[in-house]
Amino acid sequence: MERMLLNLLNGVSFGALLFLLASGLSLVLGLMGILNLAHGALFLFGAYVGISVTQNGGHFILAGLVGGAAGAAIGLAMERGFLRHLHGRILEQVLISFGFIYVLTNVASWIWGTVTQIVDAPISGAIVLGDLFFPKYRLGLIAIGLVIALGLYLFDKTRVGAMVRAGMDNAEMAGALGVNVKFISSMVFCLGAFIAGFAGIIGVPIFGAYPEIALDALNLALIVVVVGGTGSIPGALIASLLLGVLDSFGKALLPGIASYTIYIALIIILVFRPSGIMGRSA
Amino acid sequence: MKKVLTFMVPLSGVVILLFSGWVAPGFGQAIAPAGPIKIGCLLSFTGALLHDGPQVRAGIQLALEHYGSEVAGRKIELVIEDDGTDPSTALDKARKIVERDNVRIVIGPQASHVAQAVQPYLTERKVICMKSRQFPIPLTAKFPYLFVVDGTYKQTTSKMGDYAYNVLGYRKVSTMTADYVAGREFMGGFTERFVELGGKVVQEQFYPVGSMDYSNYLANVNVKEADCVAAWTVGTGGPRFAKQYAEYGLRQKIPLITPFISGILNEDTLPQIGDIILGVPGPSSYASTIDNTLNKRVVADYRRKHGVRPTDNGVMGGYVNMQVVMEALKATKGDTDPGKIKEAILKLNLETPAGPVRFSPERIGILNIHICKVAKEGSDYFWQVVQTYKETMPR
Repeated sequence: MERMLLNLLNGVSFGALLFLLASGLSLVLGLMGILNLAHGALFLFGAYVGISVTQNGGHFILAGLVGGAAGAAIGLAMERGFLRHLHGRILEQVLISFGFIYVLTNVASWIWGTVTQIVDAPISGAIVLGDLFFPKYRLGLIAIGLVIALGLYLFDKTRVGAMVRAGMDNAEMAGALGVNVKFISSMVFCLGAFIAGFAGIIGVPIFGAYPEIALDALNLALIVVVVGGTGSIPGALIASLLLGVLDSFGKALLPGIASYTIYIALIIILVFRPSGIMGRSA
Repeated sequence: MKKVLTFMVPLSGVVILLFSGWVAPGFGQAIAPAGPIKIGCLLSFTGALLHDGPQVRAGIQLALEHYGSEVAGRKIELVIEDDGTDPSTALDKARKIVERDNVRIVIGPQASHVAQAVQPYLTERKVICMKSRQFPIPLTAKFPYLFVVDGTYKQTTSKMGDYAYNVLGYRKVSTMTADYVAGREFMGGFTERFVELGGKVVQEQFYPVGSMDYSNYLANVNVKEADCVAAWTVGTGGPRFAKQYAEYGLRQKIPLITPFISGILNEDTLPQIGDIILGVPGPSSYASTIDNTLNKRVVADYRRKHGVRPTDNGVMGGYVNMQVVMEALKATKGDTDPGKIKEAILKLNLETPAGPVRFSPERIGILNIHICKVAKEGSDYFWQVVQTYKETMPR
């Protein structure tokens, strides 16, 4: 019984991290129609920059903010410099953002080296459930995920949130009504990039930081976005939790196919709901 | 006059090409038998084993320093190429070094799937190959010019079976390892021997290669039935595994052992993990604390050059392989004929930093295996040898 609870908690904490990773991607894809594959590289940079901050004596929270800021800065540069000019041109977007992954990964390897780096979680110790221990830091992750989800929900309820949604539904109309769609788009892109960078450093005590993490993180983020429905934050939340828990139980109960449980879930969900759980059909 | 000139240019070109070995690969070599001997090194500088390449290279270069870079009046030249830990890249590089650089002896590759990809080609060309690190018996048998000085996976890890059962007194083990050939072979060698002696495997878990998070597997360890956990993972997973092992409270509840201390608890990652890993045992063919004269010299020289202790990759993959090559060339007086080199290697009885080494008729190393425990002195973490099993046979 306790082992089941532990698996559940592991799944939810992994889901929280998935949500942080995917929410930015979903937002940008839904609002701007831009598929920013370099999202994983933003995660990577946030992780490495955050590690540098902690290594120089900075508190973990500062590392999180700086990591997020690094993500936002790079994201802004990508959007302004390159992606802005490729509206609607999906192939070019894919190519250029994929190229960014390689460039950014190599720059990171150049600056920080290729050896995997980890830092200790800021909260050590575990809570005890009978015979089993669950690390406090992972509980913290769940809390952070909930806070960000709540924050995004509340943001959606504000006037700015309404403008964002208007822009998502019909950019021309919204523009005609006086919404500065371009500015809002850049802002949303930055927000998504900030969350990605933040998620990067937050995830380091569990996954570490290594060059390939840009692609690993992107892989997971894409699955969440597809399963949850593009552009839907509630969808991303549901999908992240679902996939996180399925992955956790899959590893415990069906160890032979542990690597594939997420993909099997992806296939099953898409068969029944091709636009994702909360996606809007085209 | 003009007619002669138009003749001379292409003719000289052809002559130059012939002599450079481009047109007829063997030709250039036959013309210059007293030239340098080129030793090819297929090492991983990128890809999954990117940390190992530089270590193996350092070991090879140190051996070259110690031996002097000349044998029987012929200079030894290293041709070092990156195999990318990728079978097709390795095959391309193998072709390059054999056909363009005239390499007759190769050290490497290290990854088993990469080695499998280049062996058919190297065997066909009769190139002597010294595998970097272990390789199983059935595969080594297929390639008559391949030598595996570091023995087989099971040769090393089965000794942990002996140590865990006889010395540590464990009877029931829960295992977890990476789900690929090396992961299963390392664990398999340990569990086979453990069960042979009378032990029981109560649980087996396998995680995908490159797993980022071991929490699920650690959470599922059957602490009620097992009296120890045997775990193995590779490279980047090691420090993460160790930390998560402590985080999930397993450190207090059940002892941890490894079927192979290399990979999961590499010395360069030990400072990151810290004191929680002290005392964890595992076998290795090499540790910097092995007590013999040559090893003391190797450790001192390596530390002076690189600032860290020599690793098992550096010594077993690099230094000892180069030793074998140099000694064989000394025995053949610089003759690189594959048949003669092979014969010379099979007759060798070497004192290496890892202890005495010789080859079985199957071309696999017979060597000492040392059980090591993670130890520290001040801020220096290392593998401390606690027991040595001598002259282990391939299995």
